[in-house]
Amino acid sequence: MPGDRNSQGASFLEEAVPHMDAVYRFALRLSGSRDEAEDLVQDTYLRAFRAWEQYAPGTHCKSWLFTICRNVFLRRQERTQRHDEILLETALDDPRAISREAPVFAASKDQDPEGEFFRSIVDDQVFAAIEQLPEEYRLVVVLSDLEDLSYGEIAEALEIPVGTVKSRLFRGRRQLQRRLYDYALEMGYISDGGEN
Amino acid sequence: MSFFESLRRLFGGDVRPRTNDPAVTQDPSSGEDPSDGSDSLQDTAVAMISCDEASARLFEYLDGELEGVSDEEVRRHLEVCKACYPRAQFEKHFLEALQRSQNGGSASASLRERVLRSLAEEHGAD
Repeated sequence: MPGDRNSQGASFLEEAVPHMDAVYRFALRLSGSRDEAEDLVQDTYLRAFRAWEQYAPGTHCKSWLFTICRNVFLRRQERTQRHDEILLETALDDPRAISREAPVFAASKDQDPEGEFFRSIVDDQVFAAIEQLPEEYRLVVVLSDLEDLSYGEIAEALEIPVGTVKSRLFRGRRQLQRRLYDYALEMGYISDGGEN
Repeated sequence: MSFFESLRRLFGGDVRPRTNDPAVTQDPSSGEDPSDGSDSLQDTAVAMISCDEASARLFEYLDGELEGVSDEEVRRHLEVCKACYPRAQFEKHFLEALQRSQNGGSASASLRERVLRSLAEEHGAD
């Protein structure tokens, strides 16, 4: 019915369209290219619009859009090349198994135990370090720390178990800390006297 | 043993002065510390999680995603543990740096227009 269609269109505009910036950022992180990110956003919104009847109001619209965006991206990847499934994690879904893995903290604790050097690092450098993370870590870090999604929402968006979200987040953050620490050393924000 | 730990042993419960800030904003090394720098907090009368547990749960605590252990248990550990407090501050400063860098850009006006136009076409085509 036209009335239903109009109200569906209106609710889509109201609930889904406001997340376009976040979907764009996510698409940019996935693809690494502005042009491709824009295509991904357009496809994502089109697919989301077609499937809007299946969307349950009150659920997490942003993570639902991210799921669609990621699926669109993966399908495109499959079309052009075999998607390289890199699984760096082993059976480490329990963060307790890797709780002692804090080499940067250990390296800097003598001279900067509270990580004050993180405050000196410019935003662009942090952003660049995130970009360099392997995809499976980059996505959870971006969704958690930049887009502020909960572990459950990230699991929903990436279609992975919450335990995997935790372990990827943990390892991604550790890799980032290492990169930022190396940068801080290079810039002289911290000296390497504490290491070794 | 600190004054507050003594009180805690006598009366149970949390008798430390309460602050509005989470533990990681308060420096335990400047106040009483029952662990005297060691890694053990076994002598506290109140059930206290271990350093290993606190360390393993640190990100979940800072993310507000704890399960099975309460925020309060982790917070209290961090309040009194000289070993874990700097670690918590370290992770907190790191996460703040990440959140600060939230500048991945936004959808351009032309992209918005393009998306909305394709939605309108789809809507009209139904």
